[in-house]
Parts: sequence; structure tokens; C-alpha cells
Amino acid sequence: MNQRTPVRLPLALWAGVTALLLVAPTLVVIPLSFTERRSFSFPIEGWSLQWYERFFTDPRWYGALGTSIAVAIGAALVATVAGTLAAIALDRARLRYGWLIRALLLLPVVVPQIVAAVAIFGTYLGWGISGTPLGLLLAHIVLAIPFVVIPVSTALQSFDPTLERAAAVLGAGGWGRFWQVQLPLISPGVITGFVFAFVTSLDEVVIAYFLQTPTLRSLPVQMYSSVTVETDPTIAVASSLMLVFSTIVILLPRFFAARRRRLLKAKETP
Amino acid sequence: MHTSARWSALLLAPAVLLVAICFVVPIGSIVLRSFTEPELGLATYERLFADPTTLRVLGRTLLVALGAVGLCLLFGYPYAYLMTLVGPDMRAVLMVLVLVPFWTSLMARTFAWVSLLQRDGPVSALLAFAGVPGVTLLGTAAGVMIGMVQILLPYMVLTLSTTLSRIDRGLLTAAQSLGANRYRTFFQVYLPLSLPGVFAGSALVFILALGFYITPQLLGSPRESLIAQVIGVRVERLVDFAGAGGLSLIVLLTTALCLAAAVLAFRPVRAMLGQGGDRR
Amino acid sequence: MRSTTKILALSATAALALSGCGGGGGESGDGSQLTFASYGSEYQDAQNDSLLTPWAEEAGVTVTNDSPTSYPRIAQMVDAGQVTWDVVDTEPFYPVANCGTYVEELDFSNIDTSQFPEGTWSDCSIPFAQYATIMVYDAEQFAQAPQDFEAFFDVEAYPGTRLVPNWAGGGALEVALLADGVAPEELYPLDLDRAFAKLDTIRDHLQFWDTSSESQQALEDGTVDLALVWSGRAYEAELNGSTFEPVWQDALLAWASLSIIKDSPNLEAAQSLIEYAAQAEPQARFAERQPYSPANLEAQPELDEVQEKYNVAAPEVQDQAIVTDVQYWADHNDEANEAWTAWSTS
Repeated sequence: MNQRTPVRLPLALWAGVTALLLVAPTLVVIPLSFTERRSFSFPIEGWSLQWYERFFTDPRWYGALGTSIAVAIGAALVATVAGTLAAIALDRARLRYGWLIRALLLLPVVVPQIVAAVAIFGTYLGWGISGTPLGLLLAHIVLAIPFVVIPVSTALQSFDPTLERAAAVLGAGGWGRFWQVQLPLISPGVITGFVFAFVTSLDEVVIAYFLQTPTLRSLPVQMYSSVTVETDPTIAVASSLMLVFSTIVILLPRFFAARRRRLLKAKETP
Repeated sequence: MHTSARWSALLLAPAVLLVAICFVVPIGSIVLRSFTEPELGLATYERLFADPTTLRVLGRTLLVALGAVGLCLLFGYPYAYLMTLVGPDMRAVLMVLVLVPFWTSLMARTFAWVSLLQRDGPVSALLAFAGVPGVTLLGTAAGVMIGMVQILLPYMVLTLSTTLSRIDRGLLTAAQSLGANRYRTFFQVYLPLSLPGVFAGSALVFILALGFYITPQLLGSPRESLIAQVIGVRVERLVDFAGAGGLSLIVLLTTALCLAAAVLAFRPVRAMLGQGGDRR
Repeated sequence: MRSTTKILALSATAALALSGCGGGGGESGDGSQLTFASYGSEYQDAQNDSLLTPWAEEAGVTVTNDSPTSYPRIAQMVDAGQVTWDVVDTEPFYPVANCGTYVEELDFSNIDTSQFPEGTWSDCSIPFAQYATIMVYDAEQFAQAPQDFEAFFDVEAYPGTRLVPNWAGGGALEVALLADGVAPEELYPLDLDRAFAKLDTIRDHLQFWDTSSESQQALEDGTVDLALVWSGRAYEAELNGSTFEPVWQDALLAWASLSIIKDSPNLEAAQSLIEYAAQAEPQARFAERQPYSPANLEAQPELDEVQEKYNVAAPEVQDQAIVTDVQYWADHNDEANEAWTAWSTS
């Protein structure tokens, strides 16, 4: 559908610099997980698998990985559904107090996390859910909702309502219009929202630090606790493993979305 | 065309209830403490504003956040734009490069920057090679900014690309066939159409930058402290919940003020560039 | 300022009373349970092996561990009437500042305090292990060993970067005043303005550490030239090949403080643990595992050569050391930290 515009060299070079900036830390983290010395110094002088061994023999580490992945998937799914529905309602209903609701939903990104952490810890303690998986899940869901609302709203804003009107004229019902017309069109925004939500939960450290117990400790909290005590390249192992898991979780929906799009396209052409 | 109010209330309910109960209630109770401790009144705020640290660090935080927005646009916009120009395979590669930082834990990335930026580290060596010897970026404002931009850039690029990918390039061809040159086409047609994405991405990056805590702590010196770190000291060392609640309210109001100003500024900007953009 | 909002506490208590689930984890008061909170990792593992496990076997109590020690968490537990921790390891000033409000007063009838250095125990706490904040210097860099803290401020004779703790109670204020000529016995109350003025003279040469692992890493990597660090970290760095050497003159003594959280649901077991921890044997066992020295000076740990070098309990170190005035820090922690933040961030 797009006509190819020639890419100018300066643009390509600048994007190259940007790409380097984006991947530079990752290029350090992966080799660092194989370092021989207990040090973060780079370049690496000798190689070993000792930090991997440490990760997989210490339940504090591999347990934390499991906790983090479970919470991140749960939080991202709930936040994506709740956030997408809310963004759609806000976009279509033109509520008089819509801006207020939007502000409310964005609040969790605006409040400094250290304050959110203390406040949530105190309140959840009173409710008896501090230190429980439910408490951490709820905290991460609300933290992730704004990260869904923002991209979905942006996608809806650039969405052409005439398409929906056309669908209505052609006799599609409310749900049909939603599933068949609107959702596929805003799906890049929804996927971006899911990625943001997943990563937000997976990387969140301050709130999880307050809500932790010895049996409920997320991976970033374990990483932070570990490096406050000693220089510990195991965090590089943890990060490299998370990279593998995130790749799977994030690439799968993209893969299916791409396949769906190809299938749809195949259907369109008679 | 209008959805019934009940229908939209139903769609809104899950998100609104979750945020209201699980977030606003706790935050509300801590902010309330800033008005009730030690007694009812504004004593906490008098105390906070009498402390020279509050305004100085708040001002610094706003500047750093603005700087981060600027740099993220500088790097992110051309990158997102390039993503719309290339073929699907190259586009996928560019997308993966944006997602790689997301897949690498934030904590590990920050420590990676520590090893990259430290005294005699790779960046120092690179700068020395380029003819600027003896520079250590760790513990400086530049070091903090590099770390922050790297973390925030994916948010900018992904938000932008959501908008840019939907801009109809046929409009550009049309403009050019009507005699506009490349630059005029870009600034008068493409840029205005991309503004919702620019605005959303900038707002997101700005808000996120205001809350940075661990990155400036590890990559900067106390002179680069941001407001979240000062709040952190109040919580962890002073156990001053009222003061921390008060500071958060100040941050919240400042953010709201900045966003409101941006929204007001945004309309004239769009009008000035000659594109109504109102879709209904 | 730290007092509870009474309404909040009352409503929380009421809610608790209604729901009928007193005391946090629900394992209240039958004396068979105890939760111990400390700083985590190897440090807490060593505390378990040397102290908690032997005690628990003797007393028939199941111990749960939690970490890290967090003052806001303690405050919120006590304020909400949901205390889940019983015994906690803190900095020395904390139990003095919060005696009777956030920590319980101890029963000293079965604790022999005569073996603790003067000033290391209080109505609400006992010392379990001691360490010192000391100056270390890079011996490869400086042929002439610095003698006292004046060298720390002498950038002509000892050029280079200085590393200091980034909070008021970390020791930099005391060191600045001592270097400025204040006699050790006249150190407290600290003259904050004078201390900051002295620190300003070397401001451009200062770097700061927030976590002790950062300080150790800096010694190992040699990214600084002089530093104020905890003796235990200097020891660990030396084991890992650092070239830094300690200076013991006017070392600032500090200690790991054990106390009982206010309204602990297992008060009796907690008191019994404190009594056990005050004895020489568990403290000696701990000192053999971690680079801390016993606070009970009767303890006779078997130390190797490097451990002996950093043994803060040794008489020659004790003679040169200054005991930090916990009462001063209990009374002035907030004020001094606000001043520190204002100074360090500008």
C-alpha cells in the first residue's frame, strides 16, 4: 500500500546511531553473564558458567524468575483488557467528565513510585493482601493500565470513523463492528499496550520491594537486593534469561498478528 | 453513532474500579496525611517549601525531563519515520532493535551503563580514541541523561510508530504532484498528521522521566538527584510519610500543570502548521 | 511527626477486631513462632547459622526470615496494628530513637551488659556485632601512609578522588569535624555548618556511595584513591585483591543492633532470642563467618590473619576508636539528614 520513498543516507546513519544506543547495554549484559570475575568491568577477561550455575541452584533466583513471569503475564493480560475497553469507551462516548476519567487512569504513571510503594504497602497491609501474590498482581495491574490506555487511545485517534459507519451501513452489529472492523485496526496500539504493560510489571522494582516477603520476591527485587549486598554478575544471567522469555512472550502475539493479517489479505483478494 | 451511557460505563468499569480501589485509595490516604499531620493544616507544605532542596530538585527534575523528551524526539522521530519507509523485513529488524532494550531488565541495563561509562571504561576509551581523553561520564549529568534516554526511547519510538504507520503516504504523493517540494510536503502534510503521536510519546516520556529513581541514583552523583530520590530519603531515612505525601502531591500538580500547558500549546501549534486534524 | 494518624489506626483496629484476625500472619502468641528481619543475603544466612538455628532448636521455635529491614515498613506495621516481624536487626540509632513507640523495651534481668563496649546497648536494644567506619587509602598510590583524617582533606599531599557515604549518619560529618580540629570528646552535638564547610573544601574531589557494595566495588576497581567505608567491606575488598589499606586512628565504631518490634505477637520468644544473642558464643560464631567483630568482648572467635587485621574488637583498635553517639543520632537523625540532602544535592 505504501509507495517506496528512497531512504537518504543521513537518515539511515542517524537511525544507526539510535539503534546502537538502544542495544548497547544489552551487548554488555549478555557477555557479562559469562564473566569469570565477580565484577561488572568490561571488556570481559575470562569466561565461565558459574553465574548460571548459581542462578539455577539458588531457589532465591529461579523462584524469583517464576514469580516475575507469572505476575507480569497476569498483570499484562488484565491491564490490556481493562485498558483497551476503557480507551474505547473514552474515545466513543464523549463523556462530559471523560477528561477526568482519563486523568484518573493515567494517575499511576504520574505518582512517584516510591510514594506509591509506601502508600500501597500501608493500605494493602490493612486489607491483608500485602505480601500476597494477589497484592503484587493488583499493584502491577493498576500500574500497567495507563501504559495500555495511552497507545490504544493514540491508535483510536488516528482511526477513521467512516470505516465504522460504512460497516454499520452494511449491517454489521455493534459487536461485529468491534471485532471485525475496530479491533483489527487498533491492534497495533493494543499490542504496544500489552508490551508496555508486560515490561512495566517485569521491570518494576520499587513497589515489589515493599510488598515482598521471602516467598514472594520478584526478579528485579532479587537483583536489586543482590547488588546492594555484593557485586553480583548473576543479575546479568537473570537479565539474559528474561530476555529469552520476553522474546517468546512478545514475539508470539506479533507472529500471530502478522499471520492473521496475511490471511485477511489473502481473503480480500478474490 | 453514540454509544449509550450505560454501555460505556460498563466498558470503563473494570479499569476505573481497579485504579480507584487499588491505587487512588492508598495514594489518597498518604496525601491526606500531609494535611492532617502533625495537625490539620498546611504545616507540611510550609515545611517542604522552607526546605531549599524541594524547589531546586523539582526544577532540576523538570529540566531533565524536558531534556529527555527533546533527545527522545531527536533520536526517536527519524527512527520511527525510517520504519515507515523501509520494506517489511527491514521494518521487523528495526522493531526488534527497539524491543531489545525492553527485553533486557532495567536493573541490568543500568549496571551495564555503569560498566560502559566508568573510569577507563569502553566509552572513555572511545572518546579518547576520538581525541577527547580523560573523560568519565559516570557520575555526571551526561551519564544520567544517556541512561535515561536509552530507557525512555523505546516508549517514544513505539508510540510514534503507532501513529506514523497509519499516515497515508498517498497524501504525500498528492501534495508533491501538486507542486510542493519534499520539505514542504514533510512539514506541511506529514508532520501535522504525526502530531498526535509526537504529543502522546512526549507526554509519556515526560511523565516517566519525572519518576526516575534508580537510574540517576546509580549513574549520577547527588548533584544530579531527582525528586523521586529526595522523596525516597524522606520515606526510607526520615520515615516522614506526611512529607513524602506532600511532595508527591506537589509532583502531581506540577505534572498536571505541564500537561495542561502542553495541551493548550498543542492546539495553536497544530493550527499554525495548517492542519485542522479534527476528525469528526 | 511520626505519630500515627489516630483515626486511621482506630479504624484499622476496629476492622481487625471485627474480622477477628488479630496479629498479622495469624500465628499469634503461642510461642512456637518467630519472624526475624535483617539485611538479607549471606549476612542473614550467617545470622541464621550462628544465632537463630541453634536458638530455635533449643527453644523449640520455628523461625521465619524476612528482609530487608525497612523503617517505613516497621512504622506502617505498628501503625496498622498488623505486626508480622518480631526481632529486627537495625542501625544503632533506630531503637534509641523509637524506644517504646516502634520497638519494645527489653527485660535486662537475664542479660549481662558489662561485656558490651560503653554506649552500644540501650533500653530497647543489644549489639550483636560491631564494625567501624574507617578511612582507607590506596597503598599503591601513596607511599606515605596517611595518619589521620586531616589527610582526607589534604588534596595537595594526597591528591585524588575521595569516596564517602551518602547520608548524614554515614560518618562523613564526624570525620570532617575531627579533621577540622574538634576533639573527639567534644564531637557531639555535631556542628553541622562547620562540618559542611569543611566538606565543601574538597567537594570537587568527592564521590558518594549509597550501598556498601558500591563502596567495595570502588576499592576493588581502584576508581577512587581514598575512602570512608565500613571495615567489613575493606576486608572483603582486600580478599578480592584490592590495594587499599586501613587507618584505625579515630575509627567510628558502630554495631548491628537487635531489638523487638512494638506489639510483637511473640514477645516471649523474642525476648528469649535477644537474651541468647547477647551471649559470647553466637557472636563468636557469627564473627567467624562474616567480617564483623563480636560486640560481647568475652567472645573468642577463631580468626585467620586477614580477619584479625580487621578485627574491630581488638584492644588496640578499641583504644583508638570513637563510639558514635547514638543518643545524638536518635535525636537529630531527621534534621541532619535534611541538611545532608540539601547540601549534597546542591
